[in-house]
Amino acid sequence: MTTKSTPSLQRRHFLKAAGASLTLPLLESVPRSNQLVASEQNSGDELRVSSTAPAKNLVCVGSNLGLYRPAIYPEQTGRDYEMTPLLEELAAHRNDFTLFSGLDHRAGNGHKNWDNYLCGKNVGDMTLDQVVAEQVGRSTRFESIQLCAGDIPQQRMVYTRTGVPLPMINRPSVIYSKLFSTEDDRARSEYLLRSGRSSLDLVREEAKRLKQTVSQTDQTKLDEYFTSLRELELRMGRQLDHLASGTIEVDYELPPYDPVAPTLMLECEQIMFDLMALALQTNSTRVLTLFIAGLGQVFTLDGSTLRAGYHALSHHGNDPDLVRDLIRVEREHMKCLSRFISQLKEKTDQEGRPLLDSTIVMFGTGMGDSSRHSNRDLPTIIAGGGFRHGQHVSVDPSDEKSPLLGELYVTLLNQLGIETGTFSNASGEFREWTT
Amino acid sequence: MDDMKNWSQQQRSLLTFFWSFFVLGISVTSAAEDIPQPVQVVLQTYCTDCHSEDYAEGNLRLDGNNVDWSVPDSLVEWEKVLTMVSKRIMPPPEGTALTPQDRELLLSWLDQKLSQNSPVGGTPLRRLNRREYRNSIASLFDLEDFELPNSFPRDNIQHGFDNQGDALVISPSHFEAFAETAAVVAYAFFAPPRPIVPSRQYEVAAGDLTISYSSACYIDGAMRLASSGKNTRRHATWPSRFVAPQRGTYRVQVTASSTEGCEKTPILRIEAMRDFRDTLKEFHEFELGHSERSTVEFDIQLDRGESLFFRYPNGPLNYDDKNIYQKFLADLFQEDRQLAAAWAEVGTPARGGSGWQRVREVLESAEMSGEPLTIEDAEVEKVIQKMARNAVGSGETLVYRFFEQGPYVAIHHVSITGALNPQTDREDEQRERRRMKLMGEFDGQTDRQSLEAFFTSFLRKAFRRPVSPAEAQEFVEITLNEHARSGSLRNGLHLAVRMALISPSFLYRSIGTGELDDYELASRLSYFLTAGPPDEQLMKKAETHVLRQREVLLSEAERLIDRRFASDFPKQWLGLSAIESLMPDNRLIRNFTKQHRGAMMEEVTETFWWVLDNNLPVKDLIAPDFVFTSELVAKEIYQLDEFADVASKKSKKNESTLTRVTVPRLSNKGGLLCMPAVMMATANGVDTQPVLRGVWVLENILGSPPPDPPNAVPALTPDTRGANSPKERLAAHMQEASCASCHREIDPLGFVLENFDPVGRWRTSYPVYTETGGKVRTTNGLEVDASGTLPDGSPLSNVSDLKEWLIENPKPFTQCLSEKLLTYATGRSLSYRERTLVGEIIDQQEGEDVRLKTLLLELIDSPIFRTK
Repeated sequence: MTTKSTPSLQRRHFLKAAGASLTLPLLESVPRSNQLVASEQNSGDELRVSSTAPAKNLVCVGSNLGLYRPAIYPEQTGRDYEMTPLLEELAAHRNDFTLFSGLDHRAGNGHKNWDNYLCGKNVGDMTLDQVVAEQVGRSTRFESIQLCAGDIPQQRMVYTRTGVPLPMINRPSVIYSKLFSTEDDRARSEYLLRSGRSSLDLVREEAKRLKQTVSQTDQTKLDEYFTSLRELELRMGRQLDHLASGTIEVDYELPPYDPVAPTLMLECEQIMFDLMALALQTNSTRVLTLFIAGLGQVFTLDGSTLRAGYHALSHHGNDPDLVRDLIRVEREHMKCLSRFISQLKEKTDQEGRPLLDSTIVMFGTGMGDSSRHSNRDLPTIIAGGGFRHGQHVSVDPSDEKSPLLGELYVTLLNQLGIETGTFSNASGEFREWTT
Repeated sequence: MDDMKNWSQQQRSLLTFFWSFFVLGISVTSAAEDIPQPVQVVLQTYCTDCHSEDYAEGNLRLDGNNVDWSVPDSLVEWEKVLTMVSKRIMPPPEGTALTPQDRELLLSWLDQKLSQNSPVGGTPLRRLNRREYRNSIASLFDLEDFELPNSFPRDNIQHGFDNQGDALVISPSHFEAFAETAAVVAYAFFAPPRPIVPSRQYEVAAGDLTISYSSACYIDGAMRLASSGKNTRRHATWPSRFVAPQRGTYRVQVTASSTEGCEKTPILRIEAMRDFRDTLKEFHEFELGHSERSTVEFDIQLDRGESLFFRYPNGPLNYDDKNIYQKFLADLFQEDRQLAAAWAEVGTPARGGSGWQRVREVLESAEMSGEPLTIEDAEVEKVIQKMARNAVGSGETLVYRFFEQGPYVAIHHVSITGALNPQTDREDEQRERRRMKLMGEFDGQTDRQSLEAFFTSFLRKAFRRPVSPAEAQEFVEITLNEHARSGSLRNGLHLAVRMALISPSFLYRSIGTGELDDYELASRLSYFLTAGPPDEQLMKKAETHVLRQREVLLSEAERLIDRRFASDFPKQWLGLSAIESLMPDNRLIRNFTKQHRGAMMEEVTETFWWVLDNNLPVKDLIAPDFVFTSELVAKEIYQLDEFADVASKKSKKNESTLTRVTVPRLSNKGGLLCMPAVMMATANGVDTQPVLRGVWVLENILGSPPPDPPNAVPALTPDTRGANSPKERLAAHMQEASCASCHREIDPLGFVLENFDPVGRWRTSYPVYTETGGKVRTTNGLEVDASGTLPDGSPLSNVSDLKEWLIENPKPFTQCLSEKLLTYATGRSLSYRERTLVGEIIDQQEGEDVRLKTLLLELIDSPIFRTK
């Protein structure tokens, strides 16, 4: 009779065959669900990044209240569409952007689901920008930067691989000093970083000692600690390298106050766009997101004060006055975007090419119709990134077979050199556009 | 010295312990034990067709002739075999049916082997979860209000709980959050001095004042305020480009005017405030009363970060308070019927200025045509009611009339100079006080000995165990080195404290193996019952090595059991977190508010606490003679007759207190199976899902969770067209043999709860919604059929039957609750042997009923709790 050990997983057989001492002590429990231990840093192995990709940078702008679709969608599709009130602001860049209508994630409705804008079907899945940041982020000082114009919202725009929502910065002075710190700030950040780093060195020693005393599985558990510590150390190292290389001189003057008052949201938005262009120009990061808030702000445009807050305008119920004012606000967003595109055309990367050629700029939203809180048919603009632009691409949002927004995301990822065939519930590129 | 000795002993014994296992590990490698011949025959007859080398279905092989019980995976796999066979899921219907004798043979062999061989204990190294981390910092630094930033990562959930060792990973984001929080906390005590911002003058033009919602309006070069009310964002204006950069006195000049001839002389009020917090320190008021500009000057104290907020406190229009607003509207329309008529004609004007413009257009065209508008008294009343119902919306529109016509106050210019006498920021003052408290007598001492004494006591609290002199010494070195390098002792302490907070000794617990030592036991007890670190008394008991004595352990446990436990544990056990985010269909219930949600959750806490605190029988969680409810929930969800007359709008104070109302024991009210919170969390806000509720009962009440659905089975998407009941729809489960093996247990339990709608209200029929012209009508549709069966086949006709069965057969529920308590306590699922032990503990309870507190204490005294 042959002796077979049973039942057990193949993995165990292998361990037994490999050596005598790998049987685990009785008192330990073995982690069973590997997906819980998914960590953020080792995932890079799954995807490959091509170094010759046409695009290098990704900027995702998310408007909380979306865009009033009748004011942005042209009636015609293809290249010969007629300008609409919102697109007029982008007329100078007509051949440098594409407008998509009808795309969405086919996900549930409701306030909370704004957040799936960059996630795909499920809120909390790793967002598009973070997929990119994981692949290309380590080559710059900041893996990614999250900004917000207006009050910090309930909404979340960016989630990491482990579902951690990343916080946004809404004070221009904060992001400015992070990017281009002054002498004073430098001393302080340097102190924080240096002392932070030495505290890491010290706890590593302590953790090593602890590791000697714990059981095998607990040692594995403790490895998470070491890996994360190492990752943080690298992040701090990149910051310090930058500080050592001196302050980046930029010709940009911030206002002496932070435009965080509700009335000043549009001012803040414009500054944030400017700072994003500077961040790309100085190669500080390759991945940026900007959330455009939508609470009770009352704006003054061209000297006249609007007669209702932005949020009240969005619940227009088709009232023509409210719609008119809403479009005025949204035209301001488009002006900001247009100015941003212009800057990316003027500014050049290290090879002397216009930044726009290698930067994908997406302006989109998680809300298709904020008047009814509908998450269907999300208007989306893509500019730059080396694509062939100049069209209005339309799909039928009511057709279950229509392409998903996620397919567009796959196309963007591939353009950035990240070879993948899927994103969330979508598989394959968005061929209706690229071919 | 004693501590030191104890510490090194502990280290040594840990090491010995570890080595003994290591050696043991080698010696048992080939300790495979033969499977008895008769059991092998049973396995070959019924199982190996699919589970052998060739197929290994489900990655499981049962064709061997021996088992190495020391391999943890063996235990997992064989336990699965036991579950599947005892639940009659295996062998599958198409296989050979097990004879009762063979079944018995296999099951009793498995029971015996698993009981013998599965371990007691085995919690992996466990990091503090979000709650525990927050509480640990708050307690260590005595920062009661300490809050983690919103972006602090959430914990993974396993076995329904947020404190399970395997699931509590440290990813780089976690680590970064820990490191950042450590820096923030250290900063709250030790920060470099801040440079003083020199005094200057700030000019604020009227246009630089903020308009928030309809709080203000810019007309004729001035910013006008026309409403009063507490809400700063809706009724105040403030400089959009100024906050005090430095604490001190500021000299303020305000040029303002108002409408003339008002009944009450308009008052302009200027408040010092931070952000929009409605806590007020200092304010100045000025009577205006004329349309000529006048300038007032005053000095005001501002802290860094504060600003000036301008209000019109005696403005007659106040739409924050519905009663005042309603009365105001009545007076207004009495005086100006034209306005009421115009408003009625527009219907619901849009919010804000454009809505007002519409109303004004109607008024103006009536005036031009010379035919005044008319309106009936009853109509006026309707307009008032409608406006009051949507007070904020209509108020934000109506306020424009007052911006234009008054009464209003108008601010033309503000000039601010300061800080005239710079002072230490409040934050810095607070920091000094905090530091003095934390450092105690060592504050300001820079000698090595004082620092050593400080770190010995600080680290003991932080690491929840005594520290060796060498460890304390290390922190002293760091402090002194940094002091020498930077010239600041504060920098040194800052660094050392940061280091302590990211050290594994602070972040992890359940370090070590085997029986918990006194300190580990103190931590386990404390985090279990309070989600926080051991307090001084508990630490003392550990220090004097008496905590492991039964009487001491139990009296400490009794001391620590409080409401917080009754709030934390049941919420996770019962899986109620969904309630926070579910928004019930408004066709089902109108105006579902946070008061409903709050009272539903509170009921769970109050019920659990009542039973625990009074040491009532465990079965009172299932079939009590009471419910805890708020008036709102009593009226709208429980639909109790005695609350029928409660006014729907009560003051908030009353809504948050729950009353205990007596109900019949086996009725459709009372207990976990009838609680609105549970019924809501197990539905989706729109309709009920019997499968979810069935799984919930098996998992959380009967303690017999169904196995995960096999991978190959697609999610069942029943065709919902046609008027069939959920029961008919789910009948599809029963037709597919592979589904039926589990669903015949799940679905019938879910059906028993079908009388509860998605918010937990009792119903006897399903609602049918018909929509005509935008209005939804609800009518009664199919009758609810709540009959079902228990896993053992006993028929049930409704939820009362289920409750009755559970109190006549209390063991499964008691066992289930005990296992959940211990899973929550130890941070892992229980092994087979541990579950057997739990059963024995329950059986040993004296008296007719098992009582909740007694049970909890016995579980705490068990080897399961006392082992790592």
